[in-house]
Amino acid sequence: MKRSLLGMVILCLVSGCQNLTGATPDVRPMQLSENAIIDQGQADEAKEIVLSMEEVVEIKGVSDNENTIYLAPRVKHFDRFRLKEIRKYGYDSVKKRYPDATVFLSTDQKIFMELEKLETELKNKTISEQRLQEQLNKLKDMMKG
Amino acid sequence: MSSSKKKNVTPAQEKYQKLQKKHELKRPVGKNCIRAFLVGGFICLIGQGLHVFYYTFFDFTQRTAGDPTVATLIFISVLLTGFGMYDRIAQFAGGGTAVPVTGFANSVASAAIEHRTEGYVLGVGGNIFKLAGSVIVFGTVAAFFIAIIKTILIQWGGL
Repeated sequence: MKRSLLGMVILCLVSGCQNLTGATPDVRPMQLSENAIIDQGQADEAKEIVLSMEEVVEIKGVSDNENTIYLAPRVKHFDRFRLKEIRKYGYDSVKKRYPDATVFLSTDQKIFMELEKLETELKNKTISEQRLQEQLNKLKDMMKG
Repeated sequence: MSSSKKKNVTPAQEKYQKLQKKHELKRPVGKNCIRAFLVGGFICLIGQGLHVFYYTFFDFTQRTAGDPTVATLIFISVLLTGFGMYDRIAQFAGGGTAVPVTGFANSVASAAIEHRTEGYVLGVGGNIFKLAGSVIVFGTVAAFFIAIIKTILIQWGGL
């Protein structure tokens, strides 16, 4: 009885990993372009560029008037071992497209969540330009620190 | 049975020792390992939960959320040590409770509690790192040697 229970627990633990290995379909990035208060064309294109990487499954991104792009890709589970490399590759490919822009790319879950919030707020037009800038400055500090 | 003790035994003693060995309970290594794995994993699960909690609801990023997570785990384990509950968990799980950061906190707190009667300076102050001291000493020494090896590899090995 005790042994079979133990066996079941181990089976549950082992089979728990199965869902993660399956390929998740790429989620289309939110295209805001001119609908937002600040033109998001740069961010939209940068999102497409980074999402075209094989390791990236989902991406959030916002750009501002000062020619700065903030990006937060979500990386496939097993590719997270190579996060540093992926960050560098993503950064370089966006920088190649926009050499003049300042690009911030972070794989941090917190940045992803914050950018997601900002994206929806931009889409619903419930955020002022000033507040957006404030939020983005906060994110900038987080990404550096 | 150590080899030094095996000398100077009468045949009767040897026979008895053999008999004793036959009836001795075997250490359940496999069972202990599984228990340690499950309980240690559970502690880490709580830690991961706290980590997610801190970066979801507070102004921490994934990187900085590690600090309050460790602080919370240490606080909880010190509290449990004080109430005498950590001993019971450790009795059941063995190494599972000793290896994570909670085990370190437990070793510091339990030493402090044990030597409280000897006074604050010579008792608590002198004995608080009785168990944890070796971790710090060997950790520092190991870090020192690894750093030397790394420096040599980078400076002269051209790594």
